[in-house]
Amino acid sequence: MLGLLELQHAFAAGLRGAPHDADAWAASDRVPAEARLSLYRINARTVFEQALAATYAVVRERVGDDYFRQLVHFYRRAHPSRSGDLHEVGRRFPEFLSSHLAGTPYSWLAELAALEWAVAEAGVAPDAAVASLRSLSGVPPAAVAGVRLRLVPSLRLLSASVPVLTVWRANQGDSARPVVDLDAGPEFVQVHRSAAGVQLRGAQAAEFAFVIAIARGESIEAAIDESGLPVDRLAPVLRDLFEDEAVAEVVAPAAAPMPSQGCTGHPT
Amino acid sequence: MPAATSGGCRGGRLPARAGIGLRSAHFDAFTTGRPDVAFLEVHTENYFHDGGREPRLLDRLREHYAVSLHGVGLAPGSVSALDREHLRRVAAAVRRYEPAAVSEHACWGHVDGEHFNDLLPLPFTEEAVRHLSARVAEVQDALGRRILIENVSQYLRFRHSTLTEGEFLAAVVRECGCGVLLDVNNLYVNSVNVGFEPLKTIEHLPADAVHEVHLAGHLRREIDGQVLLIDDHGSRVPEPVWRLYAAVLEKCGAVPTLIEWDTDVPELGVLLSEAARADSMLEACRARAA
Repeated sequence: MLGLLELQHAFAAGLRGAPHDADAWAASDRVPAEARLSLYRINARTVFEQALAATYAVVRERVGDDYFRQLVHFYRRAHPSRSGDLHEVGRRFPEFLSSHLAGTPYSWLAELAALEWAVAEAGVAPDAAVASLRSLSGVPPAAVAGVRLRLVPSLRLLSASVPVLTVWRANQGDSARPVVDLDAGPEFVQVHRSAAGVQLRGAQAAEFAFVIAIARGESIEAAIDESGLPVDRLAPVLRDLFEDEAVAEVVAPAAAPMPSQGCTGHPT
Repeated sequence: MPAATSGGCRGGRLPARAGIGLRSAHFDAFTTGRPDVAFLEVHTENYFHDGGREPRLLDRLREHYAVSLHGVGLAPGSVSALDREHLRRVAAAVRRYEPAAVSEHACWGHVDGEHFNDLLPLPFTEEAVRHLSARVAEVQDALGRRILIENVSQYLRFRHSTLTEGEFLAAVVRECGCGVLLDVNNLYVNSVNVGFEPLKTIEHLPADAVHEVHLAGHLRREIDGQVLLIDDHGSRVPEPVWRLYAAVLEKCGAVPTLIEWDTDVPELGVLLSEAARADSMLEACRARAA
């Protein structure tokens, strides 16, 4: 008689499709033990596939159901689930695609998958209060260059060598899918969650580099220096950040105390 | 009307009426209105994250409905070490939502760090009783409260099981003081798949430990000309399950009852009509007891 530990190892071998003998521990009345065990094997595979398909809907649509299922099969072999929380199973899919598809015409799918994972993460990131543009206008003009902006925890910044945002947008809803030129060059994407839901915004290279520096905690002045953002682009970039509800807090330099009013107060 | 009003209903106990599982297909209905159900059940793992629409909605609904947190990923019957991080997140959800009931499954689900994300059955043996009881006790200690353990569906029978499912659950209750969430559909599915008399199992159950019941639909599948039932939670509660439910009420009295529907989720009205049927049976049960 198998002890509980040996039994779970034997059962697990059957679930993985490794060599096993279900008849040794499961009864075969009416239906063979192996056929009964296969129901669990199919269910485990299906649950895994469905979790991946829910997160990577655009990747799936781009490659079709059959190839997606194949990719998931190889992914699951390389990265079996390590969590009882199904939301976690797709975490390493972009990394897997990056190596599995390296050198193939499909290698760009890794970057699309990274965008979809960012969207998934942004959807469940911690809530944060949102700062309004008025918070910045309350800072003395001479001190604005030293201001730091704390961005919302849901913010994810992605730089892709192919137009992943264009692909992502082209594959939303039920309308006809426009053809996307994958040679159209890189795209820089800001993903975050506002009160209206997850937002995706494309950015120019310098604007993107500016937001990366701000997200890292640099002052506005340092972020401009680092990113090479043209001065005339500063106001629109800041306005977009605030209007998109991507700023959680305006942190003025120590010598320039903040005005008391400055937060719209609703979490995103 | 919902079981509680604007006074809020954190903590407390599930009302002995019918509730439904809160699913994303019905978020809009619960955002804009207060559908008439006695309580709501959610999968604990869907509320592991602090932010986003789901936690905000449940925070609001929590003020109007009793809530049951139903875990599907802890798998306390696994011999591998209890997943401490998973348990920590369950505990955080319990602190945030102050549910009226917390439940997990009498199952295993991971070995050597690999999770199968399924509710895998345990053999009904004394060893499994001792192991599951010790793990459930650990979970109860970590959460600082009693939890309910649900019987899972079975597609196979372990050769070396020595207890019936009812005896197994009763023994776990005796060992660790947990309660039972009796899934009547699972009981019926198992009786067909494995071949036993479900009324006998009900006889063995500790009636006063059954604190919640699940009702759901299942799927028929033929393998080699033989029918096996698949617990897919994707259809109305079948008549044989309603009949078994009546026997459970006879034995256990009026118990909070959930209509569980997870796949091909229909419009809310369908769930509410199933809940109304359960409510009328609960009402009749109370009337008989009075």
